[in-house]
Amino acid sequence: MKIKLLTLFVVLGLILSACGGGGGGNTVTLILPEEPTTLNFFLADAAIVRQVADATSMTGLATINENGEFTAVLAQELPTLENGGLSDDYLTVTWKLREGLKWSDGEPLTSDDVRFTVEVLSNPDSGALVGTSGFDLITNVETPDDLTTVLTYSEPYPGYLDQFSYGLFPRHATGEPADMANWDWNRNPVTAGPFIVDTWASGESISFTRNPNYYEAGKPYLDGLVFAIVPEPAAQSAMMLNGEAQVHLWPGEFKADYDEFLKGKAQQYLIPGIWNMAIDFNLSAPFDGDPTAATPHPILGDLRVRQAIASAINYQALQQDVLKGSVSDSTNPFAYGWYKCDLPRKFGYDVEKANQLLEEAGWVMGDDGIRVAKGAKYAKDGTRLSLELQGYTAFDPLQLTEEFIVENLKAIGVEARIQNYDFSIIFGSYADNSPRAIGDYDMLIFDRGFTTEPQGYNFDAYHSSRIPTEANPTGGNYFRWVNPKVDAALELAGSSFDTQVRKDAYCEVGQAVLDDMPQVYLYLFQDNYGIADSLTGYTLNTWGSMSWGSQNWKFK
Amino acid sequence: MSELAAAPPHEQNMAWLITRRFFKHKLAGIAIAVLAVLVLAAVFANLSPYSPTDQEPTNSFEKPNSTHWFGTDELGRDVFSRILYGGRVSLTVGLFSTFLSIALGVLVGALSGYFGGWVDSVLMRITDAFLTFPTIFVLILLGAFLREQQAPWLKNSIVVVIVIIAALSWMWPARLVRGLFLVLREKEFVTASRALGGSHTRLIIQHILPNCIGPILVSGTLQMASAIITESGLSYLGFGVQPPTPTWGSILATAQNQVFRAPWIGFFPGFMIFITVMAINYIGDGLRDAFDPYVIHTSD
Repeated sequence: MKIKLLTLFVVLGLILSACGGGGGGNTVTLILPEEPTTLNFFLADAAIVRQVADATSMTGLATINENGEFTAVLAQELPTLENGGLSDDYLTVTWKLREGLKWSDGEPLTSDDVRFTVEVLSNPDSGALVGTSGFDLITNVETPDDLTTVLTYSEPYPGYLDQFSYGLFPRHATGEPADMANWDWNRNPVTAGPFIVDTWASGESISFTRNPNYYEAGKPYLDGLVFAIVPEPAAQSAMMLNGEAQVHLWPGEFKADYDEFLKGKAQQYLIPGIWNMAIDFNLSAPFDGDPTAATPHPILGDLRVRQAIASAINYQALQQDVLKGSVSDSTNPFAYGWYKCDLPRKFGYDVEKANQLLEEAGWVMGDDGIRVAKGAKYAKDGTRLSLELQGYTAFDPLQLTEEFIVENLKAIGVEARIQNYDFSIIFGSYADNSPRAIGDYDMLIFDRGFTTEPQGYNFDAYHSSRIPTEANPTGGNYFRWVNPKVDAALELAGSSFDTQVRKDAYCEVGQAVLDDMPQVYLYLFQDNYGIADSLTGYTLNTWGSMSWGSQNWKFK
Repeated sequence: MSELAAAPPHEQNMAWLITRRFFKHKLAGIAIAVLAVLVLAAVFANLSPYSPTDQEPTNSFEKPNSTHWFGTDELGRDVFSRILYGGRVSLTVGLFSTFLSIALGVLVGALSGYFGGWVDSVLMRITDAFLTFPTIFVLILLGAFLREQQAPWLKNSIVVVIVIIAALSWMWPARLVRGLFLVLREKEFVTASRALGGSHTRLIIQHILPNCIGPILVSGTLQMASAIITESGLSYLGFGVQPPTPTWGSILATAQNQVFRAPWIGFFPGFMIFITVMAINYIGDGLRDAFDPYVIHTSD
């Protein structure tokens, strides 16, 4: 029996070490907490897809580097006004491919593949979930030779570089555009990227081997990558400790603890993420059956109340003590990228000021420590200053933030009642009666993120024509905010190709957010990766993912 | 019913006998005391020097010490106070939802098993129908319904939580009791009692039910622990108790992420649920001994 048990343990040990990946030789093991369903970025239903796909299928005409700038990848250069790639009327874009490009299966990569990519992503039946912006504006594709693609747009599209930064599809190795969701390619892509899929053991690991036809001579330096699927946080850190893995996606530990635990083996790196946490205020009356901005919110309709709430939050303690410095400060929607606006907080942490604002606004302290209306602007006398604070469940930092803010607000006599719903409800549609869509909420806390081309999201969130109603159910102006100056700035930002003009327009919107206060920005999440000290050539990129730039990785 | 109200002398003896037999079971006595302490601690939670919601973020993850007996959590809140206050919700939900579910289950099971025939068919098909509802689906539907209700007293009410948990768990005791009744109603003592002119009510309550107490209590103690955990699950679906109000289930759920950094945060609520369930179990054990008609007639 003893011998049997011993054998069992040895076998178990072997199995476990095999699961751990390790890879050995010139292979890097990366830890994934969950398994992606596809390696096709355009079908990505979760952030995990990109973390893997960046090493294989996401090599396109351009990419966004660690400085937030576009650089050419498969294209010879970026089309601009100066080099004639972009026409003077902004309606024609000419891309030139590098010479001698090949797909990973050895077939030539030509302008016809660029045309095919446009055909797929402009097809409304492709099933694509992301990355299709602007493709419906392309009215004509010409391919005069194998290297040149000439695109004609129906209107100027400032995101013309961004839309070709997430990969190309090979016409010969995929399928019908309308059938994209079912392509075999999605799980075993023929690609121009540095690595290709070798084996995919579902629930265990996905192994990549180097693409022999990669366009940069001598790269990638590594022989392969192994993405080990390890859901348990403790097991993940143990793999880093044992040297079985070199890259760790989203470690659960705070940086200080992690670096101490893995001293001499690995460190945690924080890079500014794109997820910007804010409290949204509903400026219109909830539960009145009217989703428009017609009737002001009885409590939040008064700017002074919103300013008081902003003044009651101890931002410093929230960022440093509650979230242990895992986030950075953020005051407005434009917190990173080329459109970043450094605007100071108009109402920082100041309890005295908050109390004074509420007194002025006609809210007097009640017997139970919660204020009641007495001569308030919109609320009837006797109304309690009690507001619902909605968030989504199963995300720890969000719940900690909510609980912290509830205490902050209690200190100025404002009652905030946390009401968390599942992700699907908070971010549900108008038809699903999602509270933010139909306007039945007081305060809502969640994080939003922009890509390098922020126009679509911003126009949707802040333009007064985008208030969601029965007739306009997809609108994203959940605050029900109407500000003609903001509308004009957004229209300007959407029609100009001058980066400085666009940035100034966005900063005007950012300043209006601080002035009118339809929302209060709390902090910016940072992405965190654990990286072994033995790895070199690693680049941290806000716009990329864990596996971005893997062609440059080497062991020391 | 009048014959029940005016209890004949031998039945007074029986009540006394049951009480005495119950306390003869030493663990049951201790369990009653433990449960009493837990209930009192929850009732007088406000005597704790710390508030369950006051935060001191610079003082988070403190190990158990003389000021914070159970340490502090990620927001620097006193875990001891949170456990005491958490007991208010958890014990209320655990005890009342179990009681309600057992009461409903016994009623349905007893009628079904005793009368048989079409009563049995109808009641058991209803029970089966409830059993086939996928719990999560029902909860999501309920969540959607309650979300439309503006009044927080309805969507965050403990009473609603208790009713929901009971409504989703009464079927197991119902089936159990039905099975027991099917067997017991054929026994000689029941036939004898019926021959003497005993009413249905009398037969069910006085003769058959006492013989079922044991299994019913065992199933009840099992349900109690799951009710405490289910309660914390409901808040994830947007109804029930929301943060920052502590409950044992919610403290346990959030502590999972801190298991390496601060294992004590998860230990204490887990331990409280454990001893509550143990106490109920032993009380059930004692009650079974006390009510068991076979034991009564062969002892003393």
